[in-house]
Order: sequence, then C-alpha cells, then structure tokens
Amino acid sequence: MIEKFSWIQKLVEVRQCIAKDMDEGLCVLSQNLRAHPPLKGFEIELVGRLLQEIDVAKVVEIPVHRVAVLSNYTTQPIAHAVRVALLTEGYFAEIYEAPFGVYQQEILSEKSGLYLFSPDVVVIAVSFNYLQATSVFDEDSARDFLSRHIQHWKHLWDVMLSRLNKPILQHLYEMPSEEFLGIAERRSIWTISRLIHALNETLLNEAPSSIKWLDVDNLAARVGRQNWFDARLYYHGKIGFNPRFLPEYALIFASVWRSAVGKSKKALILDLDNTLWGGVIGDDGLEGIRLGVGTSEGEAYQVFACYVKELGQRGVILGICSKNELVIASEVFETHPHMPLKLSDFAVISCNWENKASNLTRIAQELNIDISSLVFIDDNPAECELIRQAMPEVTVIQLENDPAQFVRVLDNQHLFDSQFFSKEDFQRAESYRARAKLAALQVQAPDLDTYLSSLEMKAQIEIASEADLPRLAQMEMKTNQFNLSTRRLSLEQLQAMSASPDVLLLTISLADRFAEHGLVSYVACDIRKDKLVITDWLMSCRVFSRTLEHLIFNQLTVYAEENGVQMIVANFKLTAKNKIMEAVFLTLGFSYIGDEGKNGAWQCNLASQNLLKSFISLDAHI
Amino acid sequence: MSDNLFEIVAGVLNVPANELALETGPANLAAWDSLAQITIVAAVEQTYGIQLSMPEILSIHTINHLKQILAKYSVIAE
Repeated sequence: MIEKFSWIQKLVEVRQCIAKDMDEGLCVLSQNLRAHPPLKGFEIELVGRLLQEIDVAKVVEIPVHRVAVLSNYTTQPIAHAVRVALLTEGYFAEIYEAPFGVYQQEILSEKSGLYLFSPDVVVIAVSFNYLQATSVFDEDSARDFLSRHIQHWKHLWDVMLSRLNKPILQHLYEMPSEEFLGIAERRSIWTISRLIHALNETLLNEAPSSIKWLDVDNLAARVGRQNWFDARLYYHGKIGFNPRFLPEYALIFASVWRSAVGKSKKALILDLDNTLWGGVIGDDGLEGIRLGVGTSEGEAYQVFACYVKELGQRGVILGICSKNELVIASEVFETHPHMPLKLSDFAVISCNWENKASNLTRIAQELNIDISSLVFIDDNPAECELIRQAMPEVTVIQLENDPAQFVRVLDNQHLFDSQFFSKEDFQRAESYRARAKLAALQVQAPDLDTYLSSLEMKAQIEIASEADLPRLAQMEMKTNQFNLSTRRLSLEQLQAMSASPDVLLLTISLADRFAEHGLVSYVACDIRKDKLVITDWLMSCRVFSRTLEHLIFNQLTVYAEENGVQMIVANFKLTAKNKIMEAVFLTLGFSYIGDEGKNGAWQCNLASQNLLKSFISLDAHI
Repeated sequence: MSDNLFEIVAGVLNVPANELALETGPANLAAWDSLAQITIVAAVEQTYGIQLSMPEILSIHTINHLKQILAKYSVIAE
C-alpha cells in the first residue's frame, strides 16, 4: 500500500531541519511546497507561523521580498498565505502587518509603519461591509456614494504612490452572499449587489496602472459565496473569509504578484499522449486514441485541447515536449477531425526520445525566454519529478488520470492571468509561430546575410503616442533581457516622459514576410544641450539578432546630428538577466566610461561613427 | 486516514503527539491558546470535511470534547 503524503508529518521534519540549519531548512521547505500536494488552509497558517518566527536578518540563501499588508479585517491569514506563496516562488517574505482596521491612517500619515517599513509591494485586502455601511438607496444617493467612494480611493492611491512608487496589490470587493428580494434585486439599478458591481467596474477603470487587482470576488464565486464568507469566524476574530480557501487565495496572490514584479509565465509546454488525447498514438493509432465526441473521455480531451488553443490565441506561447515520433504524432494535429489544435499553433515542437529536461532547456533557448517563464504539463509522474528536480524554476503541472478535470486543474493555478490585454498579446502567438518557420528558413539559408535579407523586414520608428503607453508599461514588466535599466517604469512615469519636451520617446514596430510583430521595442532619451542620454531601451526577445538595434541606433544618430549633438551616452544597469546589453553596446560602437564594473555610463562619439548595417527597411520614421 | 485526531492537534500545537491525552486542553497546555483553538477547529473541519457551529467551537475544552462533537458528525476520530 502506498503511504499517503501528510503535510502534518512533513512539517515535523521541516521544523527539525530549520532548527538545525535555517537556510538549508528553508530551501527544503521551498522545494517541498513545489513538489507535494498543496497545503490545506490550516496548514498554510501553520507554515506561515513557522516562517513568521524566523529572523529575517539570518536568511542568506533565499532572496527576501518585503510585503506590507493593510486590511479592514484580520491581516494574519493573508500574511500567512503571502509567506507560503512567496516561498513557493523561491522568496522569503518579510511582512509588515498594519494595525487592525487603520489602513487609511497608515496610508495618509507620512510617518506610519507602512512607510518606515519601505515595502517592495503593498497588499490592500479590503471588503465592503455593506450591511453596516449602507441603507436602501435611491439612484441619486447611490451615484453620490459611488463617486465619493472612488474619490476616496483615488486620494489614497495618489498619496501612497507619491511616497512609495511600488506595486499595490488590491482586492476587488466581494459581491454579497445574500440576495434579499431575489430577482427584484437584479432588475433594479441601485441595489447593493449592483452597487458593488459598479464600484468594482469603476475601480478597475479609474485606478492607475500601479494598482494590480486580486479578483477575490471571482474566487468567492468559484468556491461559493456562502462558503467563502464565514460568519462564525468573522464574528469571532474578524477573519475576512474562511481560511480553508487560503490555498486558492495563495494561488491568485502569487499570480498577481508575478505580473506585478515582472515574473509572468509565458509558455505552456505540453506532453501529448494521455495529455492532449487519451491513449498512446504510437501504439493505438489514429483510430484508437480517445479524442472528440463519442466517448466521454474523448470529449474531455477535446475540450482541454480547445482550452489550450484559447490560451494560445490570448498570447500564451504553446509548445510540445513529448516522447514520440514526430511523423506519427503530427498526424493527430493534421488529420484527426476532433483535434482543434494544429501543428501551426505551436511555436516549438520537441518530439524525440531524449530526456525532457534537456528538451525543455532547448525549448527555452529556441524561444529565447527564461526557463522560469515555462509551465510544463504532463500526466507521467516520473517526467514531472525529473523536471522538478532538474529544473526547479519550471512550474510543473502533474495531471492525474481524469481528463474531465484537466481544464480546471490548469485554470485554477492562474498561471497566465493578466491585468489587461494588449493588441500585442493577440499578435504574439502569430509572431512565435513565425519564429518556428524562421528557424527552418535559417537552416536552409547559406549564410546569415542571405537569411536576414530573405525575411523582407520593415520597421516603423515613431514618437510614442498616448495609445502606445499601456503597451510600453506592459513591456516594462515583461522584458528582462534586452533592457537597459530594468527600472520597471509605470504607466504614469511613461506618461510624464511622453509629455516632457526634454525626453525623446520612440516606439519601434516590425513586420516581416511571416508576421506582423507589432510594437516590439522602445527607446527613451534625455535630450541635453551637448548629448543624447539613452535612459531606457527595451526590445522583445523574439526579434533579437535581426539588426533592428542597428536600425534604431542609426535613427538616433541621425536625430542627434540634426540637432547638433555629437555624443550619445547610455546608462546601463547590469542585472542577472540583461547581460546581452553589454555585447549590444560594443557592436553599436560604444565604449565604457564609468567606474562601477560594467554598470553606469557608456558613450559613443558620433564624429567617428559610421551608419551600421541593417537588413530592415524603414517604412516610417521621425 | 494518515492523520488521526491526536496527530492533527499535535501538529497544530507543535508538541509531540505522545504528550497529548484525552484530558488535554487550554487549561493544562499553554500552547493551546485562543488562536490555537481556532486553528484546531479549522484543521478538523478541513481534514474531515465538516463545519462546527459557533456554540460547539466555544464548548471545546479538551480533546475528548472535540472527539464527542466529531462523533455527532459521524466522524470516528482515533
């Protein structure tokens, strides 16, 4: 008989491990959190308490991330969920919990504990106590209430962001679990549920982009509103929601946190047999696999494939990593009547008999993305275990044997949740598919120049418009490699730069014979009397190594000369991921003039600079 | 069931299971404070899939009380 895994028993071991060697113990716990079934709610509280007792000054191996929690109910369960969520992500959370019920004073008072703590992110967990806050509404007083409530938040956000320019992770309001008069409530405009709905809509529309929303209202609906709000615990200890849902809460917290700090997941890499269809294609053949209406299992697999296709259309990069013969597996995508996915939906296909860890490493290289942005999904426990051990940065989803649950298992992880769509999200899938075709072309082309010319690339370089700025803010969060400063500018900062006469803010779009890539790069320069200072320069990794940076830099030199400037300086900030920038500067003709390693100022004297060779024609320019 | 009632309570209170007896409760174990009480309730609710009423929660003064309440929900806890 297989011994069932027990977190209660595991925790005894973990406590001993932490007592013996704290850093080692934390690493072990972090690995365990990724490898074992999720903690139950009370287990999150137990692990949270264990982590709370650790002296942060002694945490060496694991990076520390500072989180402030403000709430109008008890902060402790939220804080524990944050501790567990961040340790699962490989971070130790140092937490500041604002005193009970005074979140407004904390935000408004300049000397409050919130600002003294100087957090990396702030969590605002607020619920709307409608039974105590409101009475029956008429339309006018409801509108008045709505507008005053929104003004109240705008003021708090303004104050907070002016003192602390960090992401704020705020809860949407939960809808009530009671419905009073039933259908009548739905029909009237200003009942409590309609009012809360309107509040949420307005908050979403009017909040600055530094506010990242946690959709606890949707979570409450998914688990059942009457389960979510637990009156016993609220009256007993002002507990905001039943802690049995802390595991689900920790998942949406982690998801929003990742998108707030630029660690979003980008690619879903799928196994094939018993993942996208039932059975083994190599053994069962096209007729034998279970896929599509006809069998209940087959229908479940088809719906899962549809869900995956929908993710792809929203900009999630799809890939295959399967132990199979490519020719045989391809047949399912090309000829099976009930397979919604086609081979062209995948940006990268790895069908071979090598081990999956080497394949995933190659997939990340081919897509030119960090392995920590990969999600790997497989039904085989051994393959999942191999990836967890060999590549702990990869998120592993292990499917059990019930295909009816696959969609939910993946969706409930909130791995690809995003705060908003941009046009580029929809173009991305096309762009990555084009990459796959490019790779094939590259193999055929005799040399790099021939290959680059054959792409028939066209670019547009333009002054950034107001409509471009949300896309630039999104790039700031997602771009790690080709990123000069990695300073994660917010939408508001970009708006200020865009409005300033002393800043040149350019956007660059690219197209080739395979795809419209959309807005893939932007550059910001301070215009000084005697020089241009490049403060920010980002480029999407899918268009690296195409001489686009040459074209952009040529435009900057033309601009500089037209304005009588002979010098371009760039301020480079080295991070773990942007090493590529050093090589880029050298090719552009910069030399290093600073004194802090490779960090700091690089300069290029235009008097001795020729235009750089580029294979891209310029469709529109400044 | 890999976790029995004593193991659950021991896990929550962070004491060895063999130090607990049926008479153990807030009166004779310092670790069992009001916060721990709520977590113990949460632990049994989440482990056995039941929900206790507020009066029941307030009436738990020993492990034996807890065991009797669980029996009302047809949970035979060891």
